[in-house]
Amino acid sequence: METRPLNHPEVAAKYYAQRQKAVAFLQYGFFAFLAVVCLFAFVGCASIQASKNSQIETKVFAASADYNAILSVAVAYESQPRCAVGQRPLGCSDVKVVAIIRKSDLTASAALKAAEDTARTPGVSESTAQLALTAAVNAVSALREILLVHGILKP
Amino acid sequence: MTFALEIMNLLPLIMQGVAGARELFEWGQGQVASLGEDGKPTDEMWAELRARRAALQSALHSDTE
Repeated sequence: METRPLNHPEVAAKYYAQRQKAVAFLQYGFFAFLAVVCLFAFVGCASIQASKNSQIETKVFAASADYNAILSVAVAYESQPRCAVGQRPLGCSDVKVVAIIRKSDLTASAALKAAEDTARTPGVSESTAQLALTAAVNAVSALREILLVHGILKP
Repeated sequence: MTFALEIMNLLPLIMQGVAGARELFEWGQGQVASLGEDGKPTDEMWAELRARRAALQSALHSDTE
């Protein structure tokens, strides 16, 4: 009569040991695979996030550079002699307007500096960086509007 | 986000300021263009930007009492 191999104690023990090893290998393999997938996902997300923040930081930089350009127009206006009473503001600067520009610059430049520092902070969230960009753009717009309202910049 | 149009349509009375504004505007554009797609401004670029702003602010507030 032929005996089945698993009925033999030594063969059965070997078989079960190998099966256990195979199951353990599969389990570890699965978890290792999951770990690798998660790692790639994390690295990928971090890389995308860093790239987006770099773009936002560049936009904050561009807004700040635009602010400098607009500020130079304000400086040119301010550098003119102050208008005499009743004088039309051509070739002269209105003392009240100069005061407004100066006040606006103090506010706007403080907002810009805060926005720049925030955008440059490593690991800052995208939403915070986006808020910093909005603040920077608003600061530029504020000075620009004042110069437009007083006819120093033409629309 | 550019204000080139406004800068190029300044009142004649501040024509002297136009050159400075245009130069500053073009400097910013050039710096950003040099960064490429995913580049970000270097510390040196930020330092120069802030130095330029500080110089302008110093001029603007020069005779503030």
